[in-house]
Amino acid sequence: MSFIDNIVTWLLIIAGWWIVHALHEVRNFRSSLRQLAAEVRESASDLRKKAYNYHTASQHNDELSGDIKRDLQRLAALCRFLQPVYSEKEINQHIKNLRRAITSENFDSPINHRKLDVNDPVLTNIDVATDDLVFFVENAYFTIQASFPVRLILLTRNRRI
Amino acid sequence: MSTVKVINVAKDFSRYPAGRYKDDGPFTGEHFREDFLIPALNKYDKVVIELDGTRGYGSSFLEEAFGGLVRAGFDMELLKKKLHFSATDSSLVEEIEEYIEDAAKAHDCSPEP
Repeated sequence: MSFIDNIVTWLLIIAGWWIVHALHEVRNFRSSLRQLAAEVRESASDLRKKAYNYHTASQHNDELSGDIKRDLQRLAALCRFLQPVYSEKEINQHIKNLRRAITSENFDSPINHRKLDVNDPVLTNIDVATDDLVFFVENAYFTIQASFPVRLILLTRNRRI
Repeated sequence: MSTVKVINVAKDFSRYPAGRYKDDGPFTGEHFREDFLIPALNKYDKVVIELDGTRGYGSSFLEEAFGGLVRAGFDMELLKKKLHFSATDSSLVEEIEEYIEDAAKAHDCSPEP
């Protein structure tokens, strides 16, 4: 076998290994995204329930308001894992929208707390912001599929999940 | 030589910042603005706010503490120059910057007394 044939054989072996490795990495990444989406869906749903309970209660609840702020912080940390798919700015936009929807009005004010009606715009905004965030995270899976060839070339570098 | 003041919200103020106005509790945005931010901005060239370490922030606290600086008479450009933030959650910093800009816009649109 000539030297050239040897080189070609080795190149094919390396290329094969590289493709198998890249496919494995992409598969792992997509599986992590599915888990992340499930986790965000569950956390966001819990948060929505807590926000509804807080805003529809006749009195301010200190413990519940603390829980809501902690949950928002955790959800923001969870969403950081989407950075290989989305930009920091895109992720932040959804976190800010949700925090604002829940905590900018009728929040942490024992004296001025109002019991909100279920049709109140504050609660509608909470629904919209929560749904938007969940959809955004679920959509990451399809975004990754669209960028599959690029990820293959980059060997899924900068993978954070 | 420029002087720098670092304010760690959790250590210097409270791990549980909550509420907008002083009536809302002991660690509100108004308290933080008046007792920490305004004195530091008046005395130092650069003020660094460390946001990590608390049990979360509500938008009402953030808006009153930082947007309230503009309503208290601070110029937006001066705040952009002097105020610096350190936070793991960069959405907090973006939100604060938006409150400062929104307050400046509202301030510009409000009729002269």
